[in-house]
Amino acid sequence: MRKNLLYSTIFLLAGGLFLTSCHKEYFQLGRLSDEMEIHTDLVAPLLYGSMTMSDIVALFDSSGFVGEFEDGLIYLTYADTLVDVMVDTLDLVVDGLYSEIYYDAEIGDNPIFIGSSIGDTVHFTKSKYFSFETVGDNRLDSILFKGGELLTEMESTFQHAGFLTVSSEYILDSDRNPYTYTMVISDPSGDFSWSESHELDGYFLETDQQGDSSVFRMDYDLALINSGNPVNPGDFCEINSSFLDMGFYSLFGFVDPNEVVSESGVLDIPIYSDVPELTHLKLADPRINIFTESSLGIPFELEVDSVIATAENGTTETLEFYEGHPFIIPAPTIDMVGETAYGEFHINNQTSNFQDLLNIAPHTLSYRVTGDIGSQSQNHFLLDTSRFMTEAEFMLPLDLSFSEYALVDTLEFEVGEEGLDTSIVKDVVIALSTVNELPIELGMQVYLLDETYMVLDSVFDGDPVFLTSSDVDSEGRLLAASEDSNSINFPAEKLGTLEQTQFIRIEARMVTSGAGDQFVKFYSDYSLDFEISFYANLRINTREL
Amino acid sequence: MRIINRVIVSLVLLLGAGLQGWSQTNNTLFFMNGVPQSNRINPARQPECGFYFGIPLLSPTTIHTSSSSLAFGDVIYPHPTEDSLITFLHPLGDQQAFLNKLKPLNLMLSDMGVSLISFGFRTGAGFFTLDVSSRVEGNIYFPGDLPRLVLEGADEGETYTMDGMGTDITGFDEIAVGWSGAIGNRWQIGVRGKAYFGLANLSTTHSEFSVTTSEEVWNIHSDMEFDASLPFADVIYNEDGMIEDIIIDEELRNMSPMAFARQAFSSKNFGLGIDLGVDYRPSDQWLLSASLLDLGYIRWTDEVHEVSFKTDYDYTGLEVNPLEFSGERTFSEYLDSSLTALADTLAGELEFTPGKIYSRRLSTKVFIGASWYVTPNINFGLLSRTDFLKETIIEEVTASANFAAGRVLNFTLSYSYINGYLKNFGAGISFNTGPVNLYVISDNALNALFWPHEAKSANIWFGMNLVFGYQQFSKLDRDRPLVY
Repeated sequence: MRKNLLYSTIFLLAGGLFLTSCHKEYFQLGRLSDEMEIHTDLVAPLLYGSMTMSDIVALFDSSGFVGEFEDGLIYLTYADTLVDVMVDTLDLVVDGLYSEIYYDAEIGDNPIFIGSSIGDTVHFTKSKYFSFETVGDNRLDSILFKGGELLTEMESTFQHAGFLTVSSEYILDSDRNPYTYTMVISDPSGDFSWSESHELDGYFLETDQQGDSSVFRMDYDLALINSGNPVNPGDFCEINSSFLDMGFYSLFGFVDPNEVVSESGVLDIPIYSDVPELTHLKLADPRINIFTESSLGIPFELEVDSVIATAENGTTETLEFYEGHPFIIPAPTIDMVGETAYGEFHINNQTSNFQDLLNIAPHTLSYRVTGDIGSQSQNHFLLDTSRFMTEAEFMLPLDLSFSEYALVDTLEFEVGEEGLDTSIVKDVVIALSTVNELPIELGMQVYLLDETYMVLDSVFDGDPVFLTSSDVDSEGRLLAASEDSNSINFPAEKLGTLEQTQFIRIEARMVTSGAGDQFVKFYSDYSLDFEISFYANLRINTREL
Repeated sequence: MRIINRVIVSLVLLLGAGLQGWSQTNNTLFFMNGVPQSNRINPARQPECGFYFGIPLLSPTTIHTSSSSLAFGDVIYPHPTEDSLITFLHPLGDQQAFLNKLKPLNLMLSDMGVSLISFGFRTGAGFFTLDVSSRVEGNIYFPGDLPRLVLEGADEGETYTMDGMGTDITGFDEIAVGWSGAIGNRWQIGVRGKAYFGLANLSTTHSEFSVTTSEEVWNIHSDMEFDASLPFADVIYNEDGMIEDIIIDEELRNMSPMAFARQAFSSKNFGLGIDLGVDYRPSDQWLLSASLLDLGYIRWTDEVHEVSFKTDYDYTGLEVNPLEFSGERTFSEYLDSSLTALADTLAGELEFTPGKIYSRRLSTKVFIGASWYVTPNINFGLLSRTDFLKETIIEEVTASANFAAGRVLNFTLSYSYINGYLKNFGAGISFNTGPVNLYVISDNALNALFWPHEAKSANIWFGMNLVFGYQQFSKLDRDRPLVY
């Protein structure tokens, strides 16, 4: 037993020695450093999206200036009303037609009157023509009065009673009865005066053409009842007829088809000098559509000639019409009174060389416009409800080319309040992949500027084509989308530069497919798809977080 | 339930709620004849006493943890120039060496056992034992590509395969009644019946997971299913069948002993098992032994839930409308939005449903050993241990030299091949002073002396018993020194 106890004691001592000699340093976790650091890479997709031409159009077209044809071709359009005239808004009131009839000593000298007995009635008649002066072959046939009055004033010093009848077979009431009015001279004292206003609304006035005037006649019949009093020298009877404030419901006649409008001048077109890049823009099919509505019974013809565009470098281009010119603006004929005639006029590639004028980037446009009355009808008319309206629609289908379009813009830039932790992010590569159906090539460079606008660095290496244009056929339609992959490398030094950057200057240049040598079309379903991914080399140290 | 909660729950499910574990069995114990609880590893064994009583909570307490790939020194090692320790993540650490140690699928085993009641007594019919204990077993399966993804990053065109990833954690109480008896002079057999009372279980029933990364797309393929029994928690589902909240008893969260006691020995998660053992002595110099442990199952019925995460998702980034780009958002904000969108989408694929009753077997172990007795007090042993885990079978081999100095001292030195590691040197010592028996055993104890940085596993048994009837037993069986 003692022997066993001795062995046990020896064993315990030996065990104790073993334990004290163990590798304690591995287990002194109180001395374990808490610093950890990971160098890791991360590659992942970040963003993706797509935009179609219709999306882009919707973004910029808040006013409805963009549309698309049935086949999806996009166009820009702007329409405006050039002329909109209602006849009743015009001041076409005849006022002040005036005539004076005068009876004087001729009465006393008249043998009939001298031979008459007391109580006999003797008539003295006179007629007076009123005239509307016309030029050339202008002719006024008739007027249906709208309002107006015929004011008749009379003063008589003859010491005889009697009556005065004013009439005109040219002025007819609505029942086609000639106008006539008789006034009684009831006072033979020699101090008689009278006036009468007659409403003319609804009366017709028919005229005769005499020379350069359209005339109508008024007839005056002065009947005196011999009172036995003498006709003294100086006695008179004065009759004044005035047509006042005469409007019209309708007016018939003829407007001489001689030249009625002629205007010429030079228009400045500042857009090309304001935006010089537009000089590289060529339009394949610019269009102007003119629409007219007329209920005037007067056709017009408009002739545009001597339209010459002059470019900055002196190049000129003269507008030539192939068809549809001069513009004959239709009007209702005499059997269409009250109706409206519509007209359309198109200025485009089929009717003119309008495209060539725009594509020299004109900075001035000289013109001469002549307006005539059309010769289609010899009977013209106007109604008080007649209206003439002209609307012009400018349409630019996105069938175009531009051989160079550069855009430079400087923007404020800062990396954000938290900045870039370049101790963590060592290297970042942003990769952009695109599938482009748009027939546009885009090159871009972004410069990093400090607060003095000094260039610190550029984002891209070289001058890369950021977006290759799609392939198009000879008609400018999409053949195949282009695919591009671009990487933007931000090594640690450039990330540091970003922190100093206060501004960025973006320089972009665009050109359509085929280096801008052919026209390309933009359809609404063309899309630009993109995927953005990134690669980051990270160094994460727990003591630096 | 908020997304963050779902993510947390998911991570817990994926990585395991408890990475620590404790062991039930110790290879060196197989040859420690002076320890009454040696019949835990071989039910045929009989302590050389008439009666023993284990001190509650101390007899035995077992702890075991092991890693199939990583050693302690692969994770923590001395600073090359300073007097401190660093991890492999330290700037001076060797992360590549760490990654090189990992296999496609790595395993961390851990379990613990605490004995509440342990006693045995001898009768004419044999030796009877009763053991009541609580055990926790936890296995973590983690793919080598997971740390590779974190440390090396997501590279272009890489596929990170994480099939098999998951965890199996089981906590249960055990009541075991054992008997050991002799058949003739050469055979001794033992059997121990066990009743299991499950406390909680989390099992990975199917696990396929891979991540393929590239600039264009991240493909995340997952077909993972889990079963869980969480009697300690009320899981509340919303109208959509998703988990809205998990309520854990407040006393339990405060680690109240009474709360744990209420959870113990619940018959709702009941199971049965058996241990078998046999010793055969063909001659005085040879002893052949074999045992089969934990052949059993637990049927989980209480608060059962199923979790699945099935998706085949291509993440191509955050879709944006380029015409609505705003300069107010920075790159990092877009990045954050992008990753949030990814996380939200994946979280949406998690499905929580009330589960069906399921059964899980325990990790069965088979021991086969042989001892050669140079003298009655000195012998050498060789032991094969096979663990039948759910996904794999693990084989270990232990050689030992065993020495007994009467009843006072038993001492064993062992060498084991464990987890592909050749240098596991263990030891065990058992003292008997009067009625007090005290023992400490480990398969790796000496590694801490010589190669602590290479240790891939660690286990220890210790216990204290009151042993009576040694003299009587010694006189009765003097002519039959089956165990020493």
